[in-house]
Order: sequence, then structure tokens, then C-alpha cells
Amino acid sequence: MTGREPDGDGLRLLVEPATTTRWVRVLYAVCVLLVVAGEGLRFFSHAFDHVHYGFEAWPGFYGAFGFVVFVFIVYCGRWLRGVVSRPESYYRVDEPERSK
Amino acid sequence: MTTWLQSLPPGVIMAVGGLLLLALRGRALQFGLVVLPVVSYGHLLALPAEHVVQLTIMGLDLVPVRIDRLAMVWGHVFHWAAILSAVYALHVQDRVQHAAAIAYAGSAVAAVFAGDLVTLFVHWELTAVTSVFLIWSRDDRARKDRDPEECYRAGLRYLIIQVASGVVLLAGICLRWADGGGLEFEGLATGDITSAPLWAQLVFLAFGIKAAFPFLHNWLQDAYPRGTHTGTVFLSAFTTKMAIYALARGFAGTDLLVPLGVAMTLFPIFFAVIENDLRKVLAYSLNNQLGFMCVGIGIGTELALQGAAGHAFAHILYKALLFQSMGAVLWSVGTCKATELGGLFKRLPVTALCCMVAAASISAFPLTSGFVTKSMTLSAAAEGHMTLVWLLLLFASAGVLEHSGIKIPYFAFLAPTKKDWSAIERPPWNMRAAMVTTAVLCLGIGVFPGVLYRFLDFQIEYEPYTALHVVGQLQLLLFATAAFVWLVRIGAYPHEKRATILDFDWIYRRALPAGWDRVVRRSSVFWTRGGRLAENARQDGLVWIQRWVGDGAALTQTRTIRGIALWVLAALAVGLAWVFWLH
Repeated sequence: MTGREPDGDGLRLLVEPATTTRWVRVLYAVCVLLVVAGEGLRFFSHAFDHVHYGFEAWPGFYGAFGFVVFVFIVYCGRWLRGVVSRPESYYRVDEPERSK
Repeated sequence: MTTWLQSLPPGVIMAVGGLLLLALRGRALQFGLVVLPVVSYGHLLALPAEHVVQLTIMGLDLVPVRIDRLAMVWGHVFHWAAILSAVYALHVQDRVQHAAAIAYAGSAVAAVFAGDLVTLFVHWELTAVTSVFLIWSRDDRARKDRDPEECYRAGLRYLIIQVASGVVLLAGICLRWADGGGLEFEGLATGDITSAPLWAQLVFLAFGIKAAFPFLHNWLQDAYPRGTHTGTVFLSAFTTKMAIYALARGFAGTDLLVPLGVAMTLFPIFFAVIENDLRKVLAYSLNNQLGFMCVGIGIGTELALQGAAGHAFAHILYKALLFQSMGAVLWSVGTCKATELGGLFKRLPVTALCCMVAAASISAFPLTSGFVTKSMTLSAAAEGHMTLVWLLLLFASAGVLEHSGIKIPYFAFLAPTKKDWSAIERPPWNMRAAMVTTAVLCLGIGVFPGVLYRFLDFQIEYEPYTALHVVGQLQLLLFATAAFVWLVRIGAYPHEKRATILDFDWIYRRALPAGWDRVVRRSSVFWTRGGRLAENARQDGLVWIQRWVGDGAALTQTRTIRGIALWVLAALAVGLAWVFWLH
């Protein structure tokens, strides 16, 4: 009853070492374009007239917020691992760790 | 005139019909599994848009059916989830699991359409009792991740906590009844819950247990990753969203829900970063999403409430899709541990693409369902001038991208690995059909949000596709993705490790049992001395009993019937005099 999926050669482009660097450059370029687009909205439309908070109108606010928050979360996670990580068998009653 | 079909509570066809599946096998079992939710949905659609059924049982005025706009949002999506999950589970030949799953879905639907608290309580408990079988059931395809003993224990903990939620709910109902209040399930409290009556606080607590409030949440991360590969798909849809509905129905505008919801959006993010079991990552992610809905309900404005309802609708679908894709990985590989996976995209491309659609949806990328629903809660917070809440929800939005948007698809399908997956079996057609359909729904809602808003009969105008919203959201998500790439390249992103991540359940799984062991051990000296005293007392007691009822004792000697009657008469007279004196 197994399925017949096509091989995922199309997706291979996402992870092949030769193409990943290209994808990363594309990602960085899109990020820059988004900041430019945000500034374009400021000058060519009234989009920023209706923001709820003034800081939303800062150039690249959402991008900077996303980048900083992501890095913060990952470093917090690394610290948290040191505090709450235990051997995989920690809760198993019949494991030696339990009896120590 | 109300026909018997109109009197039948929605969902009961599944709740009762599910039990009939126990008698079926083979094709008939598969047929019943899919037909029951379809028939149940047909029954719901045939009922009037505004409809109430009342009856009185033992002096209790009950409303087993109450159909209105709010309940219909959940009615629709619960049936969609039941049908898609049933198709996804078609290949499994396990009568008990299927019967439990369909009865569970039916109970959840019936709970949503309950118009009184007693009816709600009955279905509330039925969902607990039926759903536990999805954790206890055997799953030969997931042997590496599902140790039977661990699943049994996790199921027991799950059952105890779920039933306890019902007991607390019942206590609240009884207190309200004793205070002369009614049984209506509507607008139970609003504003400051701490100044609400005790019964309302108890009901709030009961709902909070199932909604996985902070410190009451661990049953979710404990039990859901131990469900069968199909069972967890059912589990992800119903219990917690039933609780969200109950909060929306009973506690809209309750202030405490805002900080509680914000906390729920935040703390799971950090645990999800370091969790190795991808289904557990999804359980943390589920907790995070429930937080957004709680905030919306707590804000309580029309926009916020519709945002919470719309978010619940979209969330049930994309979360089901995430669990479906991880279920497919579990079925094919036997594990969902990130350390054991990677590079599966080549062997399971359909599953990988569906997972990516779900990951984009939960991250709220434009053109997906998350973008057009979750943003309503943020807008409501901003319109309410809740700056800190708005910033923290924005923070949580970036966190969602980390664990569900990137971690799940990356570690399962894209991460470099030396493993050769060419020999693994691909998921059967029904699993892929369910995943593709759910993915199409996630994208369809994102592309045509107006259809969803009209379908759910939303009363306000909301336009998600403004230039600022699209550019701002893309900036947030793509810069966060760039941060991920940068962290991976510099080697700062934490490697996955096989580990147990301690959470608050450590209190009742290790600290309290260990503390109790210590108390018992330290008091053993006391018990040894006390035991001697107790033995002496026992022997003295035996001598005393022998004196009164032993051979030849006063109470065991044969008496005349007249004498016994006199004694009984005297005892009755004393009893009557005592009762008379009391009154």
C-alpha cells in the first residue's frame, strides 16, 4: 500500500552545496530589497500614515526586530539547554540514572 | 416543528457511531471511518443557522443544542479536521483506535454546540476518556519513538489531568447551582477574574487546564508526541481548541487572559529550540499558538474575538498538516527525532512540500492562512494601545518561524545527512491525499481570505493585504531566516542532541515522588517504634473485643425474642428523641 511519489530532485537545489551559497545570496538580496521597498512605501504612498506606533515607521524596523529576536531566542535556547537538558533516559524508572 | 433530527445534537452521530466501528473490519471499517464524519457534517449543515433545543431532566433545564455564529466556526472546522484525519488514517486497521478517534471528534463537536454547562461537562469528559486510546494504541510503524510502557504512563497522566479538568468544571457548576445560578454556558465572567465568584474561577481553571495555561500545560508536550502517527493528528485538532472555544464563549474580555496568553506565546519558543523530538516541538508550537488565541479572547473586542476564531480555524488546519507530515515521517522512518533525520526531501517530496506549506502558514507568510488570521490579534492589541503586548506578540511571531517555520522542515527534510533513505517506504496514497488537501486549504484561505471571512460570517471588515503589512511581515520573517542562515554558518546554531528537556512536569514526575520517598524513608525509624506501640494496642483491643463478643460474653448470649424487641424499641425511641430534639 506504499505510495509512488516522484523523486525530489527539484528540491535538491535547496541543499546542494554548490547552490546553497547562491540561495543565501538571494535571501540577503531580498532582505535588502524589502528594506528598500519599505522606504519606497514611505515616499510613494501614505502607508506609514496609519501605523499604530511611531517606531513601525523606522527604516527596516521589522527586519531588524526579526533578526535580533531570532538571534536572542537561539542564544537563550543554548543557555536553557545547559539548565534543563538531561539524559534521554531520565524519566525511565528502570534506568540507572533514576536510582542514583 | 422540530424534527428528531433537529433535536439531535451535532456530533452525536460521530460520538455514538464511533462505537459501532468496534464491530467492523476491513473495507467496512474504512468506509465507516470516513462516512461518519461526512454524515455528521451533513447533519450540521442541514440544521437552521440559529437553533436551540431545550429539555428538562430531573429539574435541570438543559440546552443540548445551541447553534449560533460562534459555535458554527468550530463546527465547520472540527468536521473538516475529522474528515481529513479520517482519510489520513484509512490505512490503519485498528478498530479501537478508529472508534476512539471518531467518538472523540464527535464529543468535541457536541461540546461546542452545548448550550448549558452540564451538557458541556458530559462531552468535556467524553473527549478525555475517548482520546486517551489514541495514546495507548499500538503503532508498529513508530516503534523507535513509542515505548509501550512510556506511552501507557503518559496516557495515564494525560487521563488524570483531563478528568481532573472535568472534576474542577463540575465543582464550579455545582457551586453555581448551589448559589441559585443557572446552568447557561454564556458570558460566565469578564474583566477581573480575581473578583469573580469562586464558581467562575473554578470553571476558568477547568478551561485553562485544557487550554494548556502556563504551569498547567505539560500534559500537552507529554502526551501528544506519544500518540500514534495518526492519533496525534486527531489530538492536535480537538481538545485544546474546544477549550479555546469555551474561553471565547464564557470568558471573552477577561483581563487575565492577556498576560496568560502572552506567556503562552513566549515560553514554548525557548523549549522548542532545544527539543529533539519534532512532534514535541510541534506540541510546544501548539502551546504558543493557543497563546495568540487567548490574548485575542482576553482583549475581547469584536476584531480580537473574530481574530481568535479565525486563527483557531486556520490553526487547526496547518497544525494538523504539520502533524500529518511528521506522522508520514514517523510511518516511513519510524522516528521523529531530529538527530535521526535529515535529507528526506528526496524520498518524500510530497510530504516535504506539504510540510513547507504548513510551516509557511504557521509562520504567517503572505498568501497563507496564518497571514490573514493571526494578524487580526496583533491589530486588535495595537488598536487597544497595548504596546508591550503587541511587541511581545511580534517577538513570538519571530519565534514561531524558528521552531515551526524553519526547524521542522529543515531538520526533517533538508538538513545534510549521510543516511540513505532509498529503502524506506513512502506514505500510502490516503496520507498524501489528506496532506495535499489540507495544504490546498491552507493556501486557499491565504489567497482568498474574503471567502473565509464570509464563510465564517465575520461582522467586521478586515483587510490583511495592505502594502505595509505585506512588506513588514516579509521583513520580519526573511530577516529572521537570514539570522538562521548566519547562525548556522558561524556554527552558533545549537546542534540537535538526544536528551530529555525538563519542564514544569518535573515537579510531579520527579520532585514530588522523590520528596515522598525521602519522607517515607526518614520516617521509617518513627514507624518502627510506632509499629511496636500499634501492635500492643492491637492486642489490647482484641482482648477488649473478646470480653464483649467472645464465647460466653454478654453480647453473644442467646436472648429471648421479647428481650431483643425491647432492646430494639429502646434504641429506636432514643434515636427518635434525638432527631426530635435536633429539630
